[in-house]
Amino acid sequence: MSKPSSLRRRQRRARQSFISLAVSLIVLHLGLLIACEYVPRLRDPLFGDKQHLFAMRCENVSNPTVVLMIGSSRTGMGFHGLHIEKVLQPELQRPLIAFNFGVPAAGPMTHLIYLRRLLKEGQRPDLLFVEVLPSMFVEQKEGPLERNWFAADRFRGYEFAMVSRYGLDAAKYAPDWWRTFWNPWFGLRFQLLARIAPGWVPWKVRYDWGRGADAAGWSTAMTPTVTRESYLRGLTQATAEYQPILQDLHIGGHAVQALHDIIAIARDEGIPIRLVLMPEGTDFRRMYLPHVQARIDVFLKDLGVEVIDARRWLNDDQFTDGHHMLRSGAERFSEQLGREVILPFFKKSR
Amino acid sequence: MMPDDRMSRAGGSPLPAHDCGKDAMFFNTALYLVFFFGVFTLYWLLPWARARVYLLVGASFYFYYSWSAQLAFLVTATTVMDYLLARAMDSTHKQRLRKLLLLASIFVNVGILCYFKYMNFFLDSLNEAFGGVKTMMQETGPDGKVHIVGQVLNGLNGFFGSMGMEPSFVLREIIVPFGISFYTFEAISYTVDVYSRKIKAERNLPNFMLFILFFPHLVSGPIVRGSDFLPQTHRKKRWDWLRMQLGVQIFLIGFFKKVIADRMGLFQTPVFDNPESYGTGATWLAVFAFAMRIYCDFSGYTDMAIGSAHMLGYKLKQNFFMPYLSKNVGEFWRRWHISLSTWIRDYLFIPLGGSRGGKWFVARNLMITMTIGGLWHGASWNFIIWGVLHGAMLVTHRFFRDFVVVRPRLDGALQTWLGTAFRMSLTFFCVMMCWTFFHKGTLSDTMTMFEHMFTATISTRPMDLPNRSLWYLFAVIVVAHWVGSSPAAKRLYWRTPAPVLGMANAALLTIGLVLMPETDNAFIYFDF
Repeated sequence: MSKPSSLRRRQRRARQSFISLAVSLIVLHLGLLIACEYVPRLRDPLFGDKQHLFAMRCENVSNPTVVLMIGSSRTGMGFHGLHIEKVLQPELQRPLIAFNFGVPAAGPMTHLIYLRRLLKEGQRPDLLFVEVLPSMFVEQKEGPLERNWFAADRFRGYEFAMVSRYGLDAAKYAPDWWRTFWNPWFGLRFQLLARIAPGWVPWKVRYDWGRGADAAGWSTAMTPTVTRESYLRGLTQATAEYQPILQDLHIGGHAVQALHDIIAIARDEGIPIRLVLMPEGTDFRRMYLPHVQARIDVFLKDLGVEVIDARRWLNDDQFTDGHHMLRSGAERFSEQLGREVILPFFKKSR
Repeated sequence: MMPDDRMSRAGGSPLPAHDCGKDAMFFNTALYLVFFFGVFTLYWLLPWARARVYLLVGASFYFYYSWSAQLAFLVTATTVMDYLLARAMDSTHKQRLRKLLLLASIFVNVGILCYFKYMNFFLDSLNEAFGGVKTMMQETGPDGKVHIVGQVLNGLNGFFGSMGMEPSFVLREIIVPFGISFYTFEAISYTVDVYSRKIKAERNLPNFMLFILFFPHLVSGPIVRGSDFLPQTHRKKRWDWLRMQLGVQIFLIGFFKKVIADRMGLFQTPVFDNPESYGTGATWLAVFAFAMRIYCDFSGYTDMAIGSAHMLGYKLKQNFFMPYLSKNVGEFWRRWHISLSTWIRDYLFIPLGGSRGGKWFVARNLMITMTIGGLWHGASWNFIIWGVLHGAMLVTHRFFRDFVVVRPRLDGALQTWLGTAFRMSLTFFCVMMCWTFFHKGTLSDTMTMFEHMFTATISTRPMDLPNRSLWYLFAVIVVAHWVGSSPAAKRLYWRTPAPVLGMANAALLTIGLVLMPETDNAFIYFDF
């Protein structure tokens, strides 16, 4: 018996809507995958937001001298590019861009990837500063310390394959990465949602840190000033995080290799490179016991690159927690870095 | 026995998703989608109706097996037992033997339920009554590690010891089979129905196994009845695009509800886990979020179950009908977890005498029914109090209804739109307050929350997220309720061009994926 025409119509409608659902899902899926390749902010907003700012700065200034600093949140809150430009511009007498590429929880592996990305995009600095955070170079059998904050979803496939060569347990992180391929709207949901509605995403999975940065990539501390109580609270937390590693720090492993590779790339590209030990408060510095300090000194000396030891440049009241700088600290650090390192470098090279 | 982290433990303490098996297939996971897609494809490719039933039985067994191999065999064994007892019951006319077989079935089913779900609660409560303390028992395992194997009830030991006895009461880490309350009720309803000759015993074992083990309803319902499901196992299934579309649509709605539930959990869980750290505003917000969460979570699960079943050619009964729009508690229970409320009505309330008697007699029946209903949800005082409160509200409502019936002016006022809004709000408020008991925390946690709700308290810990997203999602729920109850929206649905409908579904799924929070939350009702 043939079906009534209304039922046939409904069946046809159901089939069409089914096909439309499947096609729409495929289009949405592929669309996001392709967009991720061209818009870095979608996959890795921590990089993408800063790269966008950097590109904008470079576009707006003709023939600038570019100083770039790559590092962790210490750099992010410490390297005040606009202040450096203001201080040095009159003396340099040429356009200067000092850009901050500090990203929270970034270590040598992330620095290496970011440097490669920037060079690939043709964003080549005239002077490169790379932060050296000693704890990141601890030798552990589980792999580089950076693994603890490593988010595979932020990296492209070949980048993920690359970092796997630096001692990262690829099998552990691979499912996260593949999820961004098979199901990108789910795998990249925090990146996407934090861009559309940041208030919907808990702090620990927010990737939009770079959005609060100024035009030169510098991010101010959450609070403009700190009380003694809040400083001590922050210091206690920092001590809990760093002391177990610093008390008997053995330097080695793949993180060291990553730093060597950064230096090698800079040399190959002809980019002058300086390593920076960022300022730390008195209480924080106490965590470096003499034998540990000796190991760090040997390690830095063996790198064969000029190291700027800025650890004692600031007073304790210029930190929020003994190692993240307040605005006043950032200005002082940046000014000193500008006058003592950047300015002499460019005067000499001129 | 080693504590097995795959399952929820005795004492009714729901565990988060990560405590479940690595291969646990929650409906909102990619693993389930892969599993379902495989079953679905194979199912519709098979040309033989019998083979399809076998496939579904096998798939359902695997579904449960992925959580626990041992318990999958236990569930299967009890299912076979119920099948045999019902067959025997059906084949004899000796009333005493039939009764004996029925009692055997009930005894085994309820016995297993009590052992797994309530034994530790009972012993623990007994121990607390004697003022005892628990001491962990440890033993060194073959791996050289020290494991906690149980808890000695020193209080009982002390009590019996004082009487010259030396008992050894030990609280074991009993693993509660997922969904035990659901399939136990299904099995009991089946044997009771066979006994009372409402249905004939199923002759085909695979069909009967499918009735109990069918994976969409296995772990969290809806509680299906033999009279609804078994005839479907005999019908030949034909591919039907309309049915597929309906199934996908219902599944997607359920998925989106689950996402809302998980997002509500971001506001509720921190407060329920640490009530002493949060002040008045945060606690009220958490209680409200929990009311939204539990509805979206459970009805979301049910929708996904109904959708999955539809796509395989089976129809499960509706389990929710916009319960927060109820105008009284009685109506709420006709709209909330309908399969459970009708079950306890048919197999508990009516056998107790139901409404055939004086008002105090009915009140007694309601109180007994709802208290057992509370205990069904979990073995803890929180759930018992929750059941008692609902029983008390149902009794109060009955008394109030009798009071209003003879006062036409008051009745008229309550029937106006303002009166209706008031009744809805009051019902929602009462239900919401009762949900405060409906969680894994202790009774003292609940009391702390009540204290913070009704006395001005300041939070010592900030919330992770601003409240705004909660209110937006609440607005989504309100709009969805309006759409669900509006004939105009239904007309619009049927007039919407098919491609647009498909795109809207894709958008719904995509938005749901983006909104999913970090935590991988199991369905709350998986623990019951």
